[in-house]
Amino acid sequence: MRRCLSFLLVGLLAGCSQQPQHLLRPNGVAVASDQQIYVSDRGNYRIAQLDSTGQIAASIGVFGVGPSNIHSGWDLGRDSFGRLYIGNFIYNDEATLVHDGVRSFEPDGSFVREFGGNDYDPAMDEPTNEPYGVTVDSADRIWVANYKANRVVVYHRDGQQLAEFFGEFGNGNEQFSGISDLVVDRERRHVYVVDSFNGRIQEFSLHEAGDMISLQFLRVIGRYGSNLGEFSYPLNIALDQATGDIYVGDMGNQRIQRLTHDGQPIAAFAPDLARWQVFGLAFHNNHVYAADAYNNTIWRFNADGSNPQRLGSEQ
Amino acid sequence: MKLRIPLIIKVLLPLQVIIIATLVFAGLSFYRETNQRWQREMDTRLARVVELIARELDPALLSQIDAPADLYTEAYTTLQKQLAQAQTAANVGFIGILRRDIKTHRLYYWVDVDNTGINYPFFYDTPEHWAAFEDGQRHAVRYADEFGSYYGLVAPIVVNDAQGQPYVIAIVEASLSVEARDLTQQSLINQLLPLIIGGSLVAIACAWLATVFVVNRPLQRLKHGALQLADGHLGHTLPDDQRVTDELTDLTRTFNLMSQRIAKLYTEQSERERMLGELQIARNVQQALLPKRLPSVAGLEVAAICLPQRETSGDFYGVIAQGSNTVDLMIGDVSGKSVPAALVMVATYSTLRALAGTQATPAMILDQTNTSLVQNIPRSMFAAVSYARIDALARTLVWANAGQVYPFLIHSSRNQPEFPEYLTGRGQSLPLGITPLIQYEDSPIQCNHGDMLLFFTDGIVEAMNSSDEMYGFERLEDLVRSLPADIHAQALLDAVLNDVQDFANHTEQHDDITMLAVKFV
Repeated sequence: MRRCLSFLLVGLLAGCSQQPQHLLRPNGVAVASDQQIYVSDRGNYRIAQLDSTGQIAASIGVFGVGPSNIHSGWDLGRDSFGRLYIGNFIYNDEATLVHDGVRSFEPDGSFVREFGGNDYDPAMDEPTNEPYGVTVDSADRIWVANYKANRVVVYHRDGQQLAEFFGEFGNGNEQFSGISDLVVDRERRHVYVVDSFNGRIQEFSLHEAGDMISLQFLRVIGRYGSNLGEFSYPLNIALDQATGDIYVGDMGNQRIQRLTHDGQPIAAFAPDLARWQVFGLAFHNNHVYAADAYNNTIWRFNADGSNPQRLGSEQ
Repeated sequence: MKLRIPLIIKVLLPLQVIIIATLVFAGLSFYRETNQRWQREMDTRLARVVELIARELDPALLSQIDAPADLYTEAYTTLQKQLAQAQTAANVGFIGILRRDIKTHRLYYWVDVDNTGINYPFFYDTPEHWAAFEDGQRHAVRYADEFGSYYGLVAPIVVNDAQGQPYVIAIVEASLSVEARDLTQQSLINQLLPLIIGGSLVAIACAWLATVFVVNRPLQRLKHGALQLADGHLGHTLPDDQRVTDELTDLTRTFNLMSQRIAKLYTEQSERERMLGELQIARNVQQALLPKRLPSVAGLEVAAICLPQRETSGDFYGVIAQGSNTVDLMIGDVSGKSVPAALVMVATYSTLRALAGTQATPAMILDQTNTSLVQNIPRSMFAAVSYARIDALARTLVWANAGQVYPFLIHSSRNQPEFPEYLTGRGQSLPLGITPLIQYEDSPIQCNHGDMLLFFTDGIVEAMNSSDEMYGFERLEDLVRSLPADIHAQALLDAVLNDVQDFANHTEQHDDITMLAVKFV
């Protein structure tokens, strides 16, 4: 009752106020073919829609703990129909995770469904999933990287679970310490999974037979460190479908690394700032888009990392 | 345009504003005090936990942890367990140890309760974090990162280097989530808000009910009662709860008293009007009995005045011609006032009139009238009457008196030893109706040309002025003496009446005034 009243009040206040015209701790980004940019605007409890010039044009989702609300959004994916998928977390009054799952919304903001929703009892020391990474492949399947569970789960866009991979904690092959993101290269049949705490990317070959999906370990890309080809807490990954190059948000080293499809480092780049924090990454139409949670902005780079442009925030 | 604001609104509105303001003020005060107490408690916990960890943590274990892979070592697990125990004991949101890279001027997580990761960059460092490294003192910190906003304390962990010199190897941070605090405050608001709103609603409802039942309804009843009164329902009363005593019940009782008195006054007034109407009828009957026009008798001037002091009179007079030269005169005064006196007057006068046509002498007429009255009027009542029979040609007077004031014989010649002369008569002179054991006598008197007789009731001599003085016989005698000898009968009466009225000077009189004058001409 108290919670309902609380959120009723917050919702009422939110409804009465204007939507904020700036981003706050963005940590997921997806780009549509019409150049519209969708951002998981975590601090504002919404999905912000930016036009091609970087101005905030619309908001999707309403703050709350209800099934159709956004409480704490993480990574963001978008399918070919325009439907959006966001990793959502709900915390209780003690800031303890009590529910997580991936929630989908139509472009007009209407809620569709939740995938893999799980409730947690704060009093129990039970394992959690924590879906930090959400990727939509070219077949409109939704790949969810469960950070704490170190597990990847694949869903059909209608919510049906298609496959489940990994789940073993460690630093060996096919073992992970914090899966934070992944990308799927269906053309080259590769899947890249970010193994965040181990400071590396694990590459797998993709095998599809209808809805049957299987992965086979290929290689480990990178290791913990600060040199080119090394990573410190990589959190995000994006794919250039045309070339097969992958872009890794090397958060601890405050840079984005570009690597070939087989893991050979090409370059590292960053905006000319003392501090920035890559918390979301997307590639579209020869541009790299990075959500910067530290500076509350979206960076747009050329594919080679040049010409960084700031979007979605006051300059 | 006049704005009609019902009393209930005038009373309730300020009352409601006061109630709501009081509740809101009380709620805000409680909210502020609770938050401040909670904040003090949190600050104390943070201070204790960072001091404890900074003092007790084993630096040797810290030195075994360097790369992210060391997350799985026993040293990390041991340290993290210690931090977790402290976190649980102090009930704070986060405890972590941070170290610095002087070359890059960056802070990194070293060990923390959230498994953030060894060497995970700490982006959101503040000058206070660095100050703890520099001055080795405890500092309050406040910052926001990608997960939320925090406030807390940092304290240095100090070890000795190879030369035995102390230096800060790391800092320990204990912090709380601002969002958690906000949620706590929100929770408090959520607890207070229903109380304030509910309390306000209950208080308003109580005030409304109290106003309606205590003020509005009694006033409505009073209004209804007043309308009933206005519609002619005199004596209409309102329910009076004897168990309650307040201003409104006082007003209700006053209304009831007023209504009853108005009804009583109205009844009395109606009765009075009815009686006045009846008295008017009685007066009309009386007036009809008295002569409308005095008979004309050769050799006599006759004049009469009767002024009743009330609607009806106890006085009467009569002038009855018995032939061409003879006339009977009567003048009387019945004891008492108003209707009873009028009734006795009518009985007396009627009897006298009935006997006047007989051959009986004045004394016999009085005797017979007395006999009749004694039998027919109340014991306490009587009638004083003078009856005279005058022969104008012989200028004689036969007169009998039954308790009436002695009349004046005013001689035409002023050189009489007694002027005017009182006609005292003969025999007993009790009024009529007192006792049958009395016999009146006739007194014959011979008069001369120009002599005048003045009969009058006691209303003349007992007329009072404002100084409670009586007019008296002496004034009447003096007046008569002062009048010219050739004065007519009517002029005599007018002169006497004017003199009495001048003496009374508008003082209300209690007795009727009747006079009868006869002059031999």
